[in-house]
Amino acid sequence: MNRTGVVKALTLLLSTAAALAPVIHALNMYKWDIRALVTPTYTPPRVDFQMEPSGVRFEGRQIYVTFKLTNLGEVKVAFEGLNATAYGPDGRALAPATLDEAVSLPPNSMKTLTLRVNIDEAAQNRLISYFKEGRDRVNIGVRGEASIRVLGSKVTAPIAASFEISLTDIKTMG
Amino acid sequence: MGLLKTLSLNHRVNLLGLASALLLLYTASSNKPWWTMAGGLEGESTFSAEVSPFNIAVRILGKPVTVPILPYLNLAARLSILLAATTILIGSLLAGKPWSRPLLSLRGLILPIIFLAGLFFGLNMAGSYVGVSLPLTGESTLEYVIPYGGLNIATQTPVRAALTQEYWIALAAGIISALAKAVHGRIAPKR
Repeated sequence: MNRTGVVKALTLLLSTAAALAPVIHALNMYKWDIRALVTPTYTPPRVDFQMEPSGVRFEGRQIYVTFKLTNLGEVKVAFEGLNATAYGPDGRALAPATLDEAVSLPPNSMKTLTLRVNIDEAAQNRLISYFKEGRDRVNIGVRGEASIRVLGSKVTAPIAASFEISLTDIKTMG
Repeated sequence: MGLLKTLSLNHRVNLLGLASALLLLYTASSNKPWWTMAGGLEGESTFSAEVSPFNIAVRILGKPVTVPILPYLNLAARLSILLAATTILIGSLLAGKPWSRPLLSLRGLILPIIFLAGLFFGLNMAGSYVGVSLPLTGESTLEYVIPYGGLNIATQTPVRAALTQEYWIALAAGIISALAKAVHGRIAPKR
C-alpha cells in the first residue's frame, strides 16, 4: 500500500473510532438496553394551589369575596384575571364576577385573592327572594375561567368557588 | 495560478485549510449553542432549548429533560470535528506532500447540514407528538390544551427560535474546508 492509501485508511479508522467509541461506551454503560438509553426522563414541577373562602364584605352594590390562596406547588403562580359568573342556589346566573386585583404567589406562599361581584338591582331583588323562601343563609356559587400565569405561560383554567351570605349582609347594601 | 500560489505560500501550505482548521477547532471547543428556542413571557421561561451537536440542554418549567444517549452523541460529534480539524491542519501544513489530500476532510461541512436537517426533522417529530407547531426560526405562539378531569386547561406560550452566530461560524468553517479540499489538488504535487 502506498502512503496515500495508508493515510486514507488511518483517517477512516480514526474517524470511525471517534464516532462509534462514545456510542459503544454508552451502550456498554447501559448494558445494551437501547430503550433505556434513548428514553427521555423528565419530572415536571408540581403545580398545585388551594383556595378556601375566608370572608365576605359588602361595599355599595359590590360584594367582595376573599379567599385564602395557598400555592402548594414548586413554581410561581400569578392570578391575573377572572371571567366568571355568580350563581344563586337555584343555579340561575346572578351577576358577573371579576378579580379585584392580580395576585402573584411564589412557591409555598399564601395570599388573599379577592373576587368582586357586581350586583345590580335585579340581582339584589333575586337575592332577597331567596331569603323569602325561608333560608337563613344563601350559598352563592362562582364559576368561570381564571387567567393564570405559570412560568411565562398564559393559562386559562376553569375555576369554581362558593361562599355564603346572610340577610343582614343584603340589608347593608341598602 | 498567481492567487493559488499566494494562497499556498508557493505550494507549501494550504492557507484555506489552515483557516478552516482553526475555525473548526474553535467550533468544537465551544459549548455555545448553535440554535436556541425560548418560550415564555416577560423574562419568565416556560421552556428553553439550547442545542448544538456538542451540547444539548432542554428545560421545561424550570426542570431539565434528559436523554441518556445525548451526551455520548455530543462527545462523538466533538471528537469527530476535533479529528477533522486536526487532520485538516496537518494536511494544510504539509500541503507539499502528495499524501496530504486525504487529510482534508469534509466533515466540517457535513455536520452543520446534518444539524439543520436533524433539527427540522426533530422539531416536526416533537411538534406532531405534542400537537403544536414549533418554529425553526422566528416567533410564534404555542397553543396547547391540557384535558384535566373532564375540563380543558388552555395554555398560550410565546416562543422565539433562532440559529446563533456559532452556527454560521461552523457553516463558514465547513464551506472553507470544502474550498480548501477543492484547491488542495492543485497545491499538492501529483504522485
